[in-house]
Formats: sequence, structure tokens, C-alpha cells
Amino acid sequence: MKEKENILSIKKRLEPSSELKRRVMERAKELEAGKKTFGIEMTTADNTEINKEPIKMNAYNINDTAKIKKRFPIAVISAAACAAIVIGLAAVSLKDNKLKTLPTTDKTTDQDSSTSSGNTSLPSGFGGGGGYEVSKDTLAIYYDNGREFDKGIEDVPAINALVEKVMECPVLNGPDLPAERTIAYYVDEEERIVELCDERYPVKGSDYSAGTDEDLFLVIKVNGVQYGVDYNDPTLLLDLKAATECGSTTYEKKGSSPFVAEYNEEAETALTEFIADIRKNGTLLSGEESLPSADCDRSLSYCQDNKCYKIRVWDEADILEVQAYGLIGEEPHSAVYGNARKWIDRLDEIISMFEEDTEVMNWIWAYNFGDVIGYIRIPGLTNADGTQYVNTPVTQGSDNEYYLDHGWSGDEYEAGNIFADYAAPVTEESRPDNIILYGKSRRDLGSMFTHLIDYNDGTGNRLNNASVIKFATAWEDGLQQYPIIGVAVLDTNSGDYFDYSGYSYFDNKHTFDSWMNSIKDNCTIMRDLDCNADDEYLTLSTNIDDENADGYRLVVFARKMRDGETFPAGRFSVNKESPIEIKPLEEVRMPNITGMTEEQAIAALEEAGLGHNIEYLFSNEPKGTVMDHHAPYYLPDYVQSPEGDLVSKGASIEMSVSGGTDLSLYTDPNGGEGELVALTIPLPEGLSGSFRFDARDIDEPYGGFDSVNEIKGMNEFVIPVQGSGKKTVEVTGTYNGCVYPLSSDIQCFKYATYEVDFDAHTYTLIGAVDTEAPAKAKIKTEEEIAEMKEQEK
Amino acid sequence: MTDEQKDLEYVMDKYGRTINGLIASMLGSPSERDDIFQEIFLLYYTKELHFEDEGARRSWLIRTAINLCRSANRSPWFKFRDGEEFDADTLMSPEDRDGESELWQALCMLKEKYRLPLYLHYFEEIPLLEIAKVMKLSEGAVKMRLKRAREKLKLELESVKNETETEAEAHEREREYLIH
Repeated sequence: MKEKENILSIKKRLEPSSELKRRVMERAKELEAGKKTFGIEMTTADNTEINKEPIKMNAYNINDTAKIKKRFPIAVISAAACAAIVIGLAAVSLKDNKLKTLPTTDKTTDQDSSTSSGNTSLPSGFGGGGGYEVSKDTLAIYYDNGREFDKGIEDVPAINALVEKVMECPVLNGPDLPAERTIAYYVDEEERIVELCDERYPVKGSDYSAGTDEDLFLVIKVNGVQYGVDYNDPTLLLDLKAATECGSTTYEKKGSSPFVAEYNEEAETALTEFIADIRKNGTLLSGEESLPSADCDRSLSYCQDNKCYKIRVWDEADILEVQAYGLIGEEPHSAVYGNARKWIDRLDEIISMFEEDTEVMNWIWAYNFGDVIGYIRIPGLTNADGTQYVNTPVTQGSDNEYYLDHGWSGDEYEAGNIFADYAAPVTEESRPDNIILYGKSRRDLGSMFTHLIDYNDGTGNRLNNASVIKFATAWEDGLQQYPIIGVAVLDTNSGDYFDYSGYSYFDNKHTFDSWMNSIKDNCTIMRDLDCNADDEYLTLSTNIDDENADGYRLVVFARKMRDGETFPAGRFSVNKESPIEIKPLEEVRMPNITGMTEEQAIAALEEAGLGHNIEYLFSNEPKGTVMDHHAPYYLPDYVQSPEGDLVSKGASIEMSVSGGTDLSLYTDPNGGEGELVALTIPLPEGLSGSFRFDARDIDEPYGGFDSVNEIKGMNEFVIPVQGSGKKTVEVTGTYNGCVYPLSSDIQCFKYATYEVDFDAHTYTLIGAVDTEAPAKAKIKTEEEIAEMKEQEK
Repeated sequence: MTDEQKDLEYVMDKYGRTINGLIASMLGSPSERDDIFQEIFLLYYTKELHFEDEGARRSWLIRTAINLCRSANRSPWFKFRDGEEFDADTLMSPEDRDGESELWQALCMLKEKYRLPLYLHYFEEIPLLEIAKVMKLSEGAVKMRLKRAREKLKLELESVKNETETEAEAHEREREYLIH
């Protein structure tokens, strides 16, 4: 697979030319005269104002989350620490800690405001800076995505030694750059705030707009002073990043995307031993010059305490390289080992011990949302294609209603979310003895807890195959295992039903024993599992979406694995008969309806037991043709299948259907102004191929647009134009309309010009349609392409 | 240079490629692309925006780029009046035979709803959530689109490759014919 290289080479070509950037700068300077000066001080009121602007600027709900301090079960490695492995996580900032103390709004919480006041003269947009809590007892690490970590002070001397080295670097005087990570600690009664900037953004010389290209620096700020680390030798920056990295293991294989590994203590220990072993017994080669020039075949990165390793493997050359950054003491930054087959094999063994952590991404982002307090998944509860039904962040709202129809990010979502009982708060400090989670059942969606119903199968088979829930609160390290105790079907209409919702905390009124006894009395299917009052519990509750099941609840009880406990081997068996019979959930495969007519598609869906939602789009394709379709995906980790996706019976399939070219049916969702006119443009006879046609108001830069693919047998097409009064509209065309940054000379031809009277909804052709132009452009383009290919050879 | 101009230069350096690529994946003529590029950054410059963080800044640029490109490509997004969100129709024509990058070619052939998330996620490594926000979709929907996009991309890639192969074969045949 060379897609990856391709991406890189395409990315290079997508860089805007320096000429283009220069033009922007020039125009900006021209505009300067008429431009107000920037307000430097930012107030909360300003923020509110901005949020009201039509373009929503604040991508995330930041204010709600600013105070939240959560640990990430598995932190994801930063791009810097171990060189090239990025999964797009580290590079992104969800929110910035700096927000917490904007200079004008929050001086009180910051005893020593020297850093924040020192930064108030920054250009706006770079945030205020400062406001970090500096404590003598910890070394605090702030990531620009809002993650915060406290480390012990034992590493302070070593980290400070690195910082001292930074302070010997040249001082820069450029504009303030946003820090990617900030380290705050005390040394000799003095606070030190070290800000590490993005290593992908070097600056030039003393004033970054001046210097030469050779003169590139990476910026590290110490108490506001900018120091420049040589771009070509960023060891210092990498060491600092690795020393403060709270990362996890990532594994990358040539040609496939890297994955983040689930935390695995055994494997991490094995890695430590592995490195010690190869350091002692490996055949050390002379250095970097002995590295093969090709890309490595596999690489593994992992971080441990205050250092990060990256191990790269070249199979054919039998070479293995260990890179190390951070507080590595005597270890070399790079060591190349030859004759390494033995170690390569061992490394592969270790790699196979890691399990890919598919939800880590979800997880990390989710934790920045204020109401998210944890994550749940049930590994064994899947459909025939392997889709996990339950695999989502868990929220806790201020009532038990909100998340019935809102997703965890707070957007309205039909399926709702899985949420913890609001009355028993889950926080960093404490959790209830028994966390009760609610999730809605929707037979037609199959979402959230719907499929817990599968557990009540009258045999226990399903439970035996999916007997463990994985759950973690936001402050725990990694998903914890919760073996299931049993499943119960309860009738809330009956007067003396087992009110499991009262047992968040075991107390005198709600004793553990009464709870346990009720579980034993009520479970339809359960197993023997040693439980006592000191254990922590998890209860999952859902309604039953079935006829005659109103008021019934399906409840699953589980207990957290104890430290050092072996996995419970007990089998599930029927404990008592289910009080009601629940119709099993059904799934069907979605037929491929794209290309059918609307009627055929609906019939095919109905036959499969599926509904539909239609959106009609303007299109030159025959009216009523299904242009696209997809399932309403309510499941978090949908697996797609070539035979058609598995969807819940009764689900409504989303389909896009050509609504034809009758403009009276459409409106412009972009808020365009004026009257709509359907410009019908004739096509020359016998033309074939793929063309794109634009219609534009010659006085305005942007007009209508349409593309026509595979012209065969079409003798005209429609472009909608919008405006008022009378306008001259020019229709231009291109052959091979594909936007291709590599070929700048797309054959563009003028096709026709119309005088459009928008108010009267009429138009007249000015002159004639250039019927020969499309064919000519086609020939010319093909010639050029042939020429380019020739040159390539 | 004023601080604001330095800021502009910095932002353009940092996000120029992301935005330029986004525009290139949405718009046809190079001159139009350049116009939009300028417009976005000048808008950024003149609007006196305060961003709460880098993520918000980037989201704003991406969102603005999408909006401007869409208004440049106005007509395909006409929909029935009750429609809420707009959706792209086929924008790209399937033939671009410049052999240098099949990948980009294949990408261009996808519909906008697949192309945008694919570009943003795999080329620019923008996290799903942020894509969801800028595209005003649920994260699940973005994930789905990405999955479908990958599948479609695979198909497109295969067809692009097949085309190139057949062409190569044709050349080969021609050469043989000339030799004999």
C-alpha cells in the first residue's frame, strides 16, 4: 500500500504557494488603514458576543468543561515524544487551559499573576497564557487539549536540568506562539512555567518573519521568555516532551494505520525487559549511518514514567533501532542493533499481546465534555458482523430525562445516551457503591441498551458468551472488568417490585443483603458469583420496547473484578421464568437500492422489513432515481458488510432521491437571495464523456454550478441560478472537471451567454452556443495528458 | 509588521495547507480556488475574531472554507423546502488521467459528503468530533461516512488503477504492433 506516501506527497502539493500567501499579506496590509486596532483585553462578554455571530466559532462547549480535571485511562502519545507516530490526537487542541484565567476576568484565583499579566500584551487570538496552578508539591503538566496531569516532584531536578539547557539557547523575539504543552513546577522557591510549542512549527531567526530558512528554531518559553532550540536538532524539546509524556503504546506497521494499544501490564513489563535485554546483549552497530534508507517495516512506541521509546524494525536487513527520549540517563538517543532476528521475533510476540483499543479515540475526546463521566462497552454482545451494540461514553446529567434524547456531546439524538443516575454523583473523589446506568431501548434502532434484551434468552447462552461488561469512570486507569451476576425482568407496575434504583449506596435502609437477596429472587438468569458489601457494582437498566411490556424493566447486575481475582468461570443458568415473554430482536440486511427508482427501492425495503426516509435533491439525473442510501447508524461501531449492512428490522433507511430539475420544489438552504431561474442549456448531439459546467453572473465572482457526468444521450441539462433584476450569465465548461492540484491547466471553455431576467423568470441566449467547444476541449485535454505522461517517462 | 499581520502569517503557515487542500477538494478552477483562499484569510484578518483555543480557530477556518466553497458552488445544494441540511451532489467528474496520484483522483470522485470527512480526517488528521462539529453532524454519522468513504475510495482506487492498467496495456499493444 502506498496510500500513505501518496497522502504525504499530495499534502506537499496542497501547500499554498508562497505567491498566494504573499498576495494575502499584501491585501491585509492594504486593509490595515481602514482597520480598527485589536482589542487586547478579552472579557467574557466579548466571548458571548462572538458566540452569537452567525458563524459559530466556539467549536466545543468549553466553558462547561474548563474546570473539569479528568484523568485519561490511556493517554495517547504525543506526536513529538516518539517522533513520527501521530494518530491525529495529539495534534489537536480541544480546549485550552489558558481559558481558565483570562487576564481581565479571573485574576483572583491566580495568586501570582506575573505570568498572566506578562502576557496581556499578546496579539489577540493567542489566548492569555498563565493561570496555571503551580504547586510546590507537584509537577503539573497541561496539554493544550485540556488534559492535565500531576506528576510527583521527584523528576523536577532532572527536568529542570533540561530547562536550564534550554535557557542557554538563543532568545527569540517573535510573536507569541500557542503552547502545545505546559509544565509548571517550583525550583528554589521560584516558580517555573515552561511552555513547549508545536515542533512542527519552527520559527525563523530573531524575528521570525526576518531570518533565513537555515535559521530555524523551535520555541520553548520559560517564564514567558522565548528560547529557540535548533530545528535540525530538536533533542532538547523531544526530551522535555518525553519526560512529561503521559502516553500509551502505539504500534505501526508499514502501510497500515497505527493503532493505540489497550493498556496491558504484562506486555509493558515485557517491553521493559526487552529493552534491557537488547541493551545488554544486542549487537550494536556504529550508528545512524547503519540504518537502512527504506522505511521501517514495523514500529512500536511506548512511554513509561518519564521516558519514551520508539522501536523500529527492518526485517530484511535484520536491523532493529531503539530510540529513547526523556530522562534517559546514560541511554543513547538512538541505538542501532544488527543481527537482530531474535529480538525482532520477541518484539512481534510482545506486539501480539497488545489489543487494539478502538474506542480510545472516542474516549479521549468524550472526556472533554462536561457530563461525560465514563465509558462502557460490552465486548461479547455483538451482531453477526461483529458490531458491538454497547460501546459509548457514559454521561451523568442534572436529571434522568435529558440524556434520553441527547447524545453524549449534548446534541439531540433520537437514541439518547447511556447515563448514570443523577442522584448518585460519580466524581473524581468518589463513586456510589453501585453505579446505576440507564439506556433507552428502541427496537427499530437497536441502540444503547436495546440489545440487553438478548440476554433474557431463556437459556443463558447469550450471557455465557458475553459475560463481562467493560466500564471505567473518567478517573480510572483503563476499562475495568465487571463480570455479570445476572439479568432480571421487573414489572414496575406491581406494588412490591424490587426497586433496584434505590440501591446506589448501601445503607441501613437499603442494605447490601436485602439487595443481594432481591437479585437472587428476581433474576431470570444468573450465576454464582461471590459478592460482598465491600465490592463495587454496576447496574444497567433499560425499558423493554415491546407490546404489553409497558412498565417492565430489564436490569443487568455486575460486580467489579477484585484485585488479583481470576476471571469468574461460573456458567449462567435459568433461575426463574421470565414474567413476560419478550419478542427477540431481529436484524435484516439492507438491500442495495442505489440506482433503483423510488418505487422499486421502497418496495425492496418493505420486503426486507425496513422503512425509509427520503430526501429529494436537485439533480439532472432522471427524477425519482435513488442516488444514495445508507442505514441510520445508531450503533457506535458499525461493521459494514458486502452483503448489505445489518440493521434492526423496522429501521428507516435514509435515501437521497433525485427530485429532478423543477426549481419550484427547492429552496436555497445557503440563504441565497433573489429569484430562482432554471437555466436550461442544450448539449451538442453525440457528445460523450464527463464535463462540468459553471454558470456565473459576470458581475459577481460566484454563480451557479453543476456537473454533468457521463454525457450520453442527454440533450440538455439544467443549472439553477439565483438573483434579481437582469443579469448576464456566462456558462463555462471544463472537460475532466476533477479538481486536481497537480494539473493547473484545466481546459476551460466558454460555452454560452444568457441574459437572465430574474423577476420575469425568463432568459434569452446571447449569440450562439459554442457547440464545438466541448469536443475540442476534450481532445486538447487528452493530448496534454498524453504529453505529461510522456514527460514523466 | 503589526501583530495582527504576524498572526495572519502564522495562521496561514499553520493552516494554509489544510485550507488549500479543502478548497482544492471542493472547487474546480485554480483561480477560483486562489480567490477563496484569499477571501478566507482576509476574512479571518478583518473580522477581529477571538478564539478560545486553537481548535476553535481551526474549526472556524474549516467551517468558513466549507461555507465559501459551497456558496461558490451554490446550485447543487438546492433541496426541497423542508430539507434542513444541505447535501452535495456529485461534484467531481470521474476522469482525470494525470497518473501521478490515483489516490487524489479517487478522492475527487467521491461525493462531497464522503470526500470532506475523508480529506479532513486522513489528510489533515482532524479528529472526528471536530469534523462532526464543522459538518454539523453527529459523530456517529461522521464515522459512518468515513467508513463508507473508505469503502468507496477503495472501489474508486481499484477502478482508477484498472483504467491505468488498461491504458498501459493498450500502449503496450500499440508498441508491439508498431514493432512488428
